[in-house]
Amino acid sequence: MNRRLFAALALVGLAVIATAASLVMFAHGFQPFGRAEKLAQVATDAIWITTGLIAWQRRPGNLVGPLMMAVGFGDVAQQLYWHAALPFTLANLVAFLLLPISLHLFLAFPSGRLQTRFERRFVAFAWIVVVPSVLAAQLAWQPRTSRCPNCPRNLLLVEHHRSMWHAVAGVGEAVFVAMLATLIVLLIGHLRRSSGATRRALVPVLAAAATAAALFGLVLVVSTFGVETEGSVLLWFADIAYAAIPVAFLFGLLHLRLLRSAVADLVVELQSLPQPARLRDAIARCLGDSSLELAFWLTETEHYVDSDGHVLDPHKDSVRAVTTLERDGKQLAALVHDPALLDEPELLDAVGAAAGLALENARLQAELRSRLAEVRASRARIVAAGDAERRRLERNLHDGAQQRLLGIRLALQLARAQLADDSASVDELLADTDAEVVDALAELRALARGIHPAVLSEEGLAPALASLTRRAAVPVAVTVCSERLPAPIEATAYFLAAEALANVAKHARASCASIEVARTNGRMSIAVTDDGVGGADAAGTGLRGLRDRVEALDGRLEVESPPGGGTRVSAAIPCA
Amino acid sequence: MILADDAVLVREGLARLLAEHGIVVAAQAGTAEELLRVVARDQPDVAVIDIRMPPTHTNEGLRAAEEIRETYPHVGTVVLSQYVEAEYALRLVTEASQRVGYLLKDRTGDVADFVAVLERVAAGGTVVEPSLVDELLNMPAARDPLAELTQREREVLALVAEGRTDRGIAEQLFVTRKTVEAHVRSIFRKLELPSEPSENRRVHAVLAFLQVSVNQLGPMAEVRREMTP
Repeated sequence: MNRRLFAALALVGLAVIATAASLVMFAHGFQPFGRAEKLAQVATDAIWITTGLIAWQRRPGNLVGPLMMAVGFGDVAQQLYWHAALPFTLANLVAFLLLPISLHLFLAFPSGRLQTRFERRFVAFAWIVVVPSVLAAQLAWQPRTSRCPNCPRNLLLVEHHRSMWHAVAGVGEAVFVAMLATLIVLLIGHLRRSSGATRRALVPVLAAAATAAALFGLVLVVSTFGVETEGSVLLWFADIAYAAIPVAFLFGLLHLRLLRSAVADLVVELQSLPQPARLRDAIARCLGDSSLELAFWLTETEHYVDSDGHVLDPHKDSVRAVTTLERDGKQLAALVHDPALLDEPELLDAVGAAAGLALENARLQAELRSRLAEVRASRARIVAAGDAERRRLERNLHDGAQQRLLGIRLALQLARAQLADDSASVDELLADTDAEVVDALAELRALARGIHPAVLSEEGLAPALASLTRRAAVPVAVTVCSERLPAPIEATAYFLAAEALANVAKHARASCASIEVARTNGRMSIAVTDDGVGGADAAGTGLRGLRDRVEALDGRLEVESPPGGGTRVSAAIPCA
Repeated sequence: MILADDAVLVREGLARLLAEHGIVVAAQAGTAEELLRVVARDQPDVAVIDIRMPPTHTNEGLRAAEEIRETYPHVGTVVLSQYVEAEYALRLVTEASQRVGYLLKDRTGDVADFVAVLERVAAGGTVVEPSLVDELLNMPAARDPLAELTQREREVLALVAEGRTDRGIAEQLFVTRKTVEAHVRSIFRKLELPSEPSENRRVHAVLAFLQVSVNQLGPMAEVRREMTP
C-alpha cells in the first residue's frame, strides 16, 4: 500500500471517528444508550480501524487488514443510528454488512484466504443471500412509531408491515444463529488442524472473541431480567474484550514478521553445517513451525527424499504448504510447512538463502544415503537371485540327471535279467557300466549337495549344519537353536560354516572345531572356531566371497586368526 | 505293494524289475495325495515312497509315510531319497516303530538287495540306509559313546540297522549265532539301553543308535532339552 492511500485512509478514519465522537458528545435527539457507553464504543471502533490500517500497511496482500477496517467503519456507522433519517438509514444497512464481514475476517485469518471450498461457499452465502434478504426486510420496517416518536425515520420504508417484519426478522435471527454456530465449528476445526505459527496467531484472537461474546451474552441475559446494565462494570469489560480482538488480530499477523529476526540466529547456527536432523530443527525454530519437514531433491532420479534417503512426496498432505528452495538456479530442497508461512515469502526466501550451503550439504548426504540404500538393496537382490539359481540348479539335477541315471541303472538290470545264460561277457560289461553309473550318481549327489543342500531349505539350519559336520574332517560341536530364520540368512550361515569347515580341513591342522549360532537382539550371529594353527588369509577368495554375502545382508564378517592361535570366523546379521 | 514316485521313468522301471522278482505292484502313485488314496484302498504290505513329490518337491513323501504309519500301522513304509539325512531317518524310526525303511534311492538299482529290504520291512523289520550308518559310525567325534564299541560290535550294529536277523548277521560275519547275541548284548550295555527280550529290541537298537549319533552332534539334542526342561 502506498503512502498516499495510507494517509487518505488514516484521514478518513480520523474524520469518521471524530464525527462520531462529536455527535455522541453534542448532538441531541434519540439516544438508546448513555453517552459514556457510546464513547467507549467509538473508541473500540477507533482501535479496529487503526489496527486494521496497520495490518493492511504491513501486509498489503492480505485481506485481514481491510476486513478489520471494515468492521471498525461498520460499527462506528451504527453510532450515527439515532440522528437524522439519512445517516440512520445508511447505518442500518452498514450494520447488516457486519455479519458477512466478520465471518469473512475470522475464517480468512491469518492467511487472508479462505482455505476450503465449504468456507468459500459459506462466506459467499453470507454476502449474497443474507444481505439482500435483510435489505428486503428494511423496506417493511418503520422504527418511528407511536411508542418511539423521537426515533428517526427509515428512508427505505415502502410500507410498514409489522407481521411481515416480524416474520422476516424471525427467519433472519434463526439464520444468524445458524451461521454463528457454523462459524464456531469451523474455527474449532481451524484450531485443531493448525500447527505452529497459525496456532500461535489464532489462539489470542479466538480467546478475545470468545471472552467478548461471553460478556455481551451475559449483558443480554442480565438485561432481559430487567437489571439495569447501563454503565455497569460488565459492559466495560465487554467493551475491553471487544477492543482486544483487533489487537490480537494484529499481533497474530505481525508475530510471523517477528520471526524474521530469527533468520540472523539461523545464519550463525548453520555456520557449523549441522547434521540434517539438526538442520531441520534449526529451520523449524526459525520459522516457528515445529511440524516443518525437509525434503531433498535428487536431480538424477528426480524425486524427493527425506534426510535418511527414503523417498518422500512433499505434496501428499494437501493442507500443508510446500516451498521449493533453490541455490544457483538449481532445485535443492522443499520445505513442507504451515500454510500461514506463505504470508511471509520474504522470510522463506531469507531462510532459504541462509540455509543454502547447509541444505546443499544435507542434500548431498541424503543423496548418498539414498544411493547407498539402493546399492544395498541391489546387493541383497543379487545374493537372493544367486540362492534361487542354486536351488533351481539342484532341483534340475535332482529331477533330471539323477532320475535319468537311476532309470539307466534299472534298464541295465532289466537287460541283464533278460540276457541268455551264455553271454557272460556282455553281463560283465553291463555290470561295469552299472558301476560307472553308481559312481556318476554319487558324484552328482555330492555336486548337488554342494550347490544347495536340500535339507537346508526343507528342514532348516540345525539339521543342515548337523549333516555338514558329519562329513567334516574333525569333530565339530554344534550349538544352534531350532527356529527357522529367513532363507537368505540361513543360507549365508550355512555357506559360512561350510567355507570355514573346508578351510579347517585344508589349512588349520586342527583337532576339533565348534559352530555356534545364536539369535539375540534382532541379530543372527554365527561363529566357527577351531584350535588349529591360525594365520588364515581373510582376503582369500573364499572368505572375500563370504564377506560380500554377509555385507549384502547388512551384516559384518570377522576373521580372527593369530598365528598358532586357532581361527575364528564369525558374522552377525540383522534378523528381524 | 504300492510304489509312489513322481519320476515316471524310475517308477515304471522299478515296477517292472520288482514284478520280475515276483513282487506284485498293486498300484503306482505320482503324488502323496494319490498315494494315501491307494494305500487306503489296497492296504498293501509295503509302500515305497519317494521323499520329494509334488507340489513342493521337498519332503511330501516323508509326511505321507508318517501319516500311513499312524493310520495303517500294518503297512510297511520304505522312504527313498537322493540324499540321506540322519534327521529324516530319526523322524521315521521313532519309538516303537516297525515296518519302516529309509534308503538312498540308488539302492533300487540292486534289485535283489532291494527286494530283500522290502521283505524285511514287510516282516516287521527296520532298515536304515547303510551309507548313513557308515557315515555315523565313522564320524569324527570327541566324546563319542559309540567310540566304546569294538570294531566287531560296530559291524554288528550296522547290520542290525540294516534290519538283519541274528542268523543273517552270523552268516554275514562267519561267526556263530551265540557270538552275535553276545555282541548285541554288549552293544546294549555300552549304549546304556535296557536289555529286553522282545522283538522291539532290535528296533530300539537302531533307534538308540540314531539318537546317540544325532544327539551327540548337538542340534536335535539341544532342541529336545529346550522343549522338556
